[in-house]
Amino acid sequence: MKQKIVKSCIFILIACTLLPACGYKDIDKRFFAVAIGIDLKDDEEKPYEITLALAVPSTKIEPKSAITQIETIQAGSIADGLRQIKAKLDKELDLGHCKSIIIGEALANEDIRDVVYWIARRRDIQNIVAIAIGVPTAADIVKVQPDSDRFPGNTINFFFSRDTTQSSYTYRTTFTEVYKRVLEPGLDPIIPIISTEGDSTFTVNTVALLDKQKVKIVLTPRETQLLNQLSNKNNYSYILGSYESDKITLAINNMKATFKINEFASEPAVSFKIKQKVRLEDLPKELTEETNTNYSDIISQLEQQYSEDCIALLEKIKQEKIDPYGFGLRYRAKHPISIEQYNEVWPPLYETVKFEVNTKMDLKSTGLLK
Amino acid sequence: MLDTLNTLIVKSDDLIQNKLKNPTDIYELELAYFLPLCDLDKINRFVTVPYSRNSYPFSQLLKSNPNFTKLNDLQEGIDLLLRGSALVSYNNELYAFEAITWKNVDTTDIKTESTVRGPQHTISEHPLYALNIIRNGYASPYLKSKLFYLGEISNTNTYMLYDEKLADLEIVKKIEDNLNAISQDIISTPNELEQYLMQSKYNLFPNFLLSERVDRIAKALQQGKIVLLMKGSQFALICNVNFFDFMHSAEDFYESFWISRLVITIRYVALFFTITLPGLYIAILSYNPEFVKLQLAFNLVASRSVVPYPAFIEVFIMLFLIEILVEASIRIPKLIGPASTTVGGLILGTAIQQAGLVSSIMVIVTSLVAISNFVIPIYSMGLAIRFLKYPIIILSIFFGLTGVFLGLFFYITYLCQMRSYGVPYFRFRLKEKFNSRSKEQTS
Amino acid sequence: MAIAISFVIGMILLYLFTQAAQVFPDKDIFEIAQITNQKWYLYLFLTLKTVLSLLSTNLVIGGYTLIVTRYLNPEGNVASIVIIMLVIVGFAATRNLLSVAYIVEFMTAVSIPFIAFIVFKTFTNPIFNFDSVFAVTQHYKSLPNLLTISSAAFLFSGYSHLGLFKNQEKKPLKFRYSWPAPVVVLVLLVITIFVPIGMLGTEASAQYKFVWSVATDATQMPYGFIERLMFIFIVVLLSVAVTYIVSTLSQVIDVIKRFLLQFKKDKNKKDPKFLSLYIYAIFAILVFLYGMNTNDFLFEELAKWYLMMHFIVETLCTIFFYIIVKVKGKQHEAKNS
Repeated sequence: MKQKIVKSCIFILIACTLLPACGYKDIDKRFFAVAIGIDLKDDEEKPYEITLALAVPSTKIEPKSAITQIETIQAGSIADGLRQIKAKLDKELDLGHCKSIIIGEALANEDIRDVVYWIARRRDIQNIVAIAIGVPTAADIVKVQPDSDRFPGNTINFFFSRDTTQSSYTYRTTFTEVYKRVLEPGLDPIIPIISTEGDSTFTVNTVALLDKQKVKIVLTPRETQLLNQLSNKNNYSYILGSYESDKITLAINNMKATFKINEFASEPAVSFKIKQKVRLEDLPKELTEETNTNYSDIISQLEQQYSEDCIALLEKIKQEKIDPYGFGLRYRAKHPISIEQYNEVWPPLYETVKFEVNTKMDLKSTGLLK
Repeated sequence: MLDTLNTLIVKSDDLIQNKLKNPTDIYELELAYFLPLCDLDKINRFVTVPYSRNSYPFSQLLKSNPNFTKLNDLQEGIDLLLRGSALVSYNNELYAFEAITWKNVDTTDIKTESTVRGPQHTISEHPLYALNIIRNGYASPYLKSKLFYLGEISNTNTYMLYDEKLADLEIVKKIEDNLNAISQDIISTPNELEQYLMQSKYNLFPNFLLSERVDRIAKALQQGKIVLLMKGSQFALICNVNFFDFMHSAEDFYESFWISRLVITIRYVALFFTITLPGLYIAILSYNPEFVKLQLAFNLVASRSVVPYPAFIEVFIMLFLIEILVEASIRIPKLIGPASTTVGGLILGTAIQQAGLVSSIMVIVTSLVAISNFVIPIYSMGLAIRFLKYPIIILSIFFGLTGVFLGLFFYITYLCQMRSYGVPYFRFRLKEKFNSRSKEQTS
Repeated sequence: MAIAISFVIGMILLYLFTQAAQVFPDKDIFEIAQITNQKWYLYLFLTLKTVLSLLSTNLVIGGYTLIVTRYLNPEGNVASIVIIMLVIVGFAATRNLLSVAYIVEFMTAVSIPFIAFIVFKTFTNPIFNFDSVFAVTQHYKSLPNLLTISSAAFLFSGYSHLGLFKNQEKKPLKFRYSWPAPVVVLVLLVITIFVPIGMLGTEASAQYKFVWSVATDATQMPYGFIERLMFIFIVVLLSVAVTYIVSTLSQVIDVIKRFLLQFKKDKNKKDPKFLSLYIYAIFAILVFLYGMNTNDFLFEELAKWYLMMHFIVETLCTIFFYIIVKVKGKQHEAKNS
């Protein structure tokens, strides 16, 4: 008898748990947002303009068959704006598949921290979303629907995803990295710039360097490639790209760049050591037709050029007082000081630092010709 | 001779030991043989009857018949005894009389546990022939058999076999007590015996293994398990098994190492899929579509958009249809058999998806679940696993992914607390030492 | 610095415990306390461990419910998640101690490959920055306080479970090769602390509430079936958390049950069948009440208090156990032989 009472109690208890079934929402009652664009407008009360690209699913997976619905709203804060967009939609808004967040140029020139903190606080946006700055406005980028899209958001995602096109001019960054760089003393954010011409496709070949708040400088594509190569993020030859000077082009197969800080020397210096394995891609016709070209001369000349280009880039960055490579972080790693002390000691030291770059190129092959 | 014999070999119920005394002969004849292994006719014709008739001096017979071999030592005799000879001791001289018979010819083909290259015949329905086959496959002097008569009216012969050195004697005693406590009128199949020997009625997993293969029985005996043979059924009941025996087919012991390990891994993966896949489908589709990649999510949405009702109703419909199909194909007459494949394949698969009742991914999921279920070698475990997916579906409807994995944890707990006559049912060990009982307080 | 101190403390306590446990090889802590007639140790052990395990169950279930309602099921009902976890944990915790040992063995063996995979994936991420790690380790000269030492020592205190598990098998447990355990735990401790710092940077990792969930979310598996590593992490977290609660609770329930059965009047009547279930029901009601009325701040405060109390209680219990066994055990043996 007692057993029966106990068992029926347990059964009722379990049955009670089955009564509320919240959170059950079928997949075809959800709207997936694939890209978000955030812009700054001049309005005082409603400064933010949010553009969402929503995916309308269909069974056809051919090019040109992707249908995207664009929703725009202006609001006082980003969270408020999303809530107002929800009122416009018939299905539940799901940001779990959002893959890229584009920040408008005006907003990036003003202050990105609001956007960054909002994204960090939200739990359903993945930390691996790609962040980019959209030129001229984020809304323009989000509204583009290229012809080759098989399903919505395809093209933008493929620009930033790791297993598809990887050009050496594209700098990819995820949200974690941006957030880390915004908060970390000694490391400054780098965000790629995506621009569009007309209605068909995107170009991602420049990069913006920020201090903790807004954009400081924009690099040219050639400098972007140099930045990419020096950042030591990946070692695939098609990402490392090439280096060209005086019409001699080298393709870099493999590269390793390390830096050391010598702050105790009489002249504080940051020395880079670069080791590259290169392959000759293009030679001007005069040198090709010569019978015995002295490759070692060419290589040493190119090494010199490369070092000078690197130093020029680093000086340019230093002038803006930003630190994307993390020299300050390295300084913090070597000295046990608190953050306040670091903030007093490092900036004057950084201004006087000299850059030394030592490049070693190892010519592996000259292509099919000798 | 018989006394020394009992110290070297275990006393079992099918070892016949006779002491014959003919008043006209001075010497006694001591005879020992295994009843299932020997041809009783031959022994009677050449040993027992000539001795009792005594028309011709028996010692002459011993020297003149080539079937008799003189032995120097009882140790050699044990070997020959296990291979079907009868030991004859006359006038303090030891002879072995060869009388082996092999009863493997008239048995049926194995239907429920088929392998590609192993033995294809079952043990027999006659218990003595079954013992013959088993003793030929497991010739050990420690193999002991005990005879029971079960059922008040049916008086079914039941042999209990175990290896006295390897099996745990406390478990043997427990099973004996349980067998003696059965008070039914008629017991005719090992399935019924399983019901009466089981310690609890509401087990989720089977506690006994029914097998008709001689190699599996021999392997079980070698691991120290206890086997019950019943007259009238070619299935043997293996007691104190554990979970991993159900997942190993008999082929894994003698096929090549790498492929058998791979196949065992595939079986466990299939087990995981057949339990959790419908639950995962509902949980991913309705609670967390960001679990899968974007393109797959769009595929899911596209295929689900034709279906008017929510995901779990779809799952229930398809599972119900598959269960009907599986049940019906057991009983369909052989002439209409192909029709069931047509019904299953075409109608349930293609047409129902085109009619918009079920999404196409659901059809794939259901067929994967149904097929994975039959990867499990033992039928009773397959039946048990077929039930296990329904509670997980219910949990996933209400709780999502958390529910699926909590349900799995519940099954693991249930398995870990099952004991099969004191032996733990689910012990994660790499070496196979499954026959030792563990000290327990009452659970 | 706290890591080094807690490593040393952990090794010492482990040594004490294994020495003490080998004196009576076929009895567990409860029976040793009864034989040597140390009732006060039994009461101390019982009440403190009960309170601690109640707190820890609260924290684990409450914390896991928080994670589920943040990441997996945002509109879920907190009550239903807490109840289903309590039901399943209740079934597992009221089983025999030996079955619980098998469960722990199986879940550990199954979780280890996934944990190794997660750690490997986060280490080989290009975002992982060793400089942040070194920047934090520069502060090793600062003195630790009780909270940091107890948090680090919490990982080293797993040996205390063996006190009750050691005589469940027929052959009692021998404590050979116990020295690799603190080394392995030290490696795990270092990984647990420094991987999120490397992934997220020094400042950001101080700001997040659930650091590891965010750190694993930062990894992408472009060639995998599941793209976000965070889901694997949450599932592994569920299995490990539930195993931990089951292990702790079942020990406590077993001890209370044996303690209550001491007062049985009639020794021959069979034990009441659902006694462990009744004991668990009390725990479950308290945990449910906590789960319904909690918020993030209470969770953090309780966690800090729990870690400090756990450290003090464990150290005291182990030291007293050692003293009792060495002193009274000799008397007991002299009496018997």
